Amino acid sequence: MPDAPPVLPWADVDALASRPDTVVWASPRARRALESAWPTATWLDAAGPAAAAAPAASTPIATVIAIGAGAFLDRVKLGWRERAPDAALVAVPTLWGSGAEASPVAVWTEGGKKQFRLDQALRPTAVAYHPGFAATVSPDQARAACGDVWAHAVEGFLSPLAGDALRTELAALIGELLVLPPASDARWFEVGGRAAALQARASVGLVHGLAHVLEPALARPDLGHARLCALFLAPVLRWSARTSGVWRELTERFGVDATAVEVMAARLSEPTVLTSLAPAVEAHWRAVLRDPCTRTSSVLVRPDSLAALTAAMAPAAGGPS
Amino acid sequence: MSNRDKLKQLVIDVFLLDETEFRFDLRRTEIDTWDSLGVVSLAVGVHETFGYHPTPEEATALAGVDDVIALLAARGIALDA
Repeated sequence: MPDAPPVLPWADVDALASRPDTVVWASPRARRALESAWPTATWLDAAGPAAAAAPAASTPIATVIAIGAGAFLDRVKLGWRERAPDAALVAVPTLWGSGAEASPVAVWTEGGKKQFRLDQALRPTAVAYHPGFAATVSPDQARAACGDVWAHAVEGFLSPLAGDALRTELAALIGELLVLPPASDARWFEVGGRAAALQARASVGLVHGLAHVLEPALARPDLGHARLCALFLAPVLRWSARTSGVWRELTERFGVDATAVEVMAARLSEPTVLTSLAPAVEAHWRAVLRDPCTRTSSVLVRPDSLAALTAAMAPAAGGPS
Repeated sequence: MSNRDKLKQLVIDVFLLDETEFRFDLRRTEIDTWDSLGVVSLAVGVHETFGYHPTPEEATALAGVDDVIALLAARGIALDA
């Protein structure tokens, strides 16, 4: 099974967009950015296939080009086969981090809880990157998105479901991430997709468990999944290192610069915001313990781990050991 | 803490049981949270607590607390220690 879909050059996407058997399903922002470049494209309404004007019935859809951020791409992945079961799906992210464009996972919120589906049929057929979208990402969005990529790479690397071959690939990827600034940079698109595709071969852990529970519970537009991952990576690493030897053991064995990763995680976090979230973590701790991601953490998360975790969230928590 | 108490606490923590629900003869079929993810958590917890990392096959084959005891015993980890 391939780890990630092949990457199409943007010229190929341009050519596909002008074909009568292609439809473009884009977020409003992406549509505004590309509409003038693709005057003959058939655009689906961003709301989804139910609201879309169908192309002529005599023209079967061969390709769906989906363009948007992670939540949008996940929505397309869940609806694309219903709309055009035989079509190829070319996914174009406008923001990095979720890796939705490359992974076989789709995440959505239902009944106040994060739901996810892992199904190889959800993996897009191909991916394409438009570097111009990186320029539209604000510094705060960029930092959060980088935190999401980092959480995928680190938690996938540590996952108890990861074997040596996967850890070797993720260790190399972590080395690549360390040379990228935690800021807007088009290179994040490709490494972000790779991180998501690789972690999908194993699992994520407590960082994602916290994000999946707190995002719907807090329902704050400023605290989305990516920012929560960015916030919690540093304290979870600190807590892990103080609780278990697995972080030190694996980083040494696979040649990962643990200190550099910890420094980067600290740069991605926001100590004041993190401290303000301690009561929410405590209030929702039982749900965090039950989250599927938490249950595949590299360090066993116990009910009494809460005190040590919140201590690791404090501004003076310092380094991991 | 004795190994017996460590195992009891581990099972309670991994499967989020109430202390009164725990028995040394508990079977996997009696615990809702002893699902595929519980298998992973239990393997991680056994490693952290007793220093032995069950193989995926061993972890999947565990069908009750007594099987965990037998697995540990086979690795020289006695519960009365």
